[in-house]
Amino acid sequence: MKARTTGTYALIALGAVLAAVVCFSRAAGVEAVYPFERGWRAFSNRVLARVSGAWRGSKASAENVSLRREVAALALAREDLGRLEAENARLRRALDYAEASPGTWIAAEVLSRGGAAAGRRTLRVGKGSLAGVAEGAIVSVPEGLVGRVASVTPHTSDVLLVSDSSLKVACEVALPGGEVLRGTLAGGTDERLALRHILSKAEVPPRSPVFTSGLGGVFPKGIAVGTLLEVREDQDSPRREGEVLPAVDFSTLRDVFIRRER
Amino acid sequence: MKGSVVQFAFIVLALAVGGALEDMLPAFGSIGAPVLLGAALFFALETRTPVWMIAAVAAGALEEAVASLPPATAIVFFAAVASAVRFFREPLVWIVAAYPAYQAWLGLVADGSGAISRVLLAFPVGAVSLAAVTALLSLAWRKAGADA
Repeated sequence: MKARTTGTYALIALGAVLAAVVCFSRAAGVEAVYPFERGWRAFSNRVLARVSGAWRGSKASAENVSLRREVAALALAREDLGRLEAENARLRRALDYAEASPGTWIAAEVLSRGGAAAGRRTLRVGKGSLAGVAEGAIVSVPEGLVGRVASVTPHTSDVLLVSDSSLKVACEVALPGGEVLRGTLAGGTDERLALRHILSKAEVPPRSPVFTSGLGGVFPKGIAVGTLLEVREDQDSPRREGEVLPAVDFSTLRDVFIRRER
Repeated sequence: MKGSVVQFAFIVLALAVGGALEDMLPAFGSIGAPVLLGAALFFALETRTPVWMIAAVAAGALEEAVASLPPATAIVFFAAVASAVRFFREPLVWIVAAYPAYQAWLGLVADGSGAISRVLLAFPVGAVSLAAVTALLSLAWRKAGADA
């Protein structure tokens, strides 16, 4: 009887210790959940994708051929890029410009979108510090900018989306005649982003593409952000405000690329 | 002793799986299914005195981790609701009221934007999800022999 009581107390103490670890370490909580999320993703990719592939049949094989061609074209483009990069580095050295920081992109699978009570617009991806991801790293996809890594655990990273109002991105829009309209992207929704602090009074052509300006020093210049839909006058301020259609559909993202500085 | 080990293992596994599920299940409008809140309510009804409080605190901490909430936001709420469930023992009332109350709490302490629509949406989403979570946990609890 006494042994049973002691064992029960020991288990309760162990439970209390585990609860305390989870309380004081956010990373421990995320890591506890990670194996189940990863397991479900693996199951979904390997089993469910094959089942749906069997349904799609010939469409999948046609898609495969087209993807192979695309891979071959991308390999050629990559060779060209390597040549251009080397030439660019040589010219920068000749002009005594600062060397552009080289980096690599890590592909990461999207695990989830932040739970039932998500306080911020985030994505959780399945690569963390063990894969070389660092806090503050830029996250992108071929269509455009996704956001920035807000926190990292050994196996996962939380990505703060550009649609979160706490993430500010310095952006620019190239106008006809060489003029540039600059503003700060300051969150919004998955469908519309707000471009604030626009000082230029220039007329903006409809559906002008918006890119990062590189001025904040956080995001490099030239990453696509979206399309400027309209620019409104603010009666209380000399600055204008624009509405941007995001380049990325955040709700359907399955994989993202995280920049790792070399 | 064996019963305690089974209960302990059950709680740890249920919270980890619940956290993963809550993180991955699709959202209904702007809110998701409160799986961890349901687990905290269930353990408050089914386990002994220190155990339910530990489970509620652990579920709250896990909620903060998966939902990127400010520290102590969910722990305080889960512990308070688990205590209320424990002492007033009205499972049906809590199944209906707990999630809207949680969304109202989050609106107060974490993110006030759209709080009223989230509270209203939380009534149907919370009632269905919490009923499903407690029913599933109850079944698994008995199958695992944790109620012994």
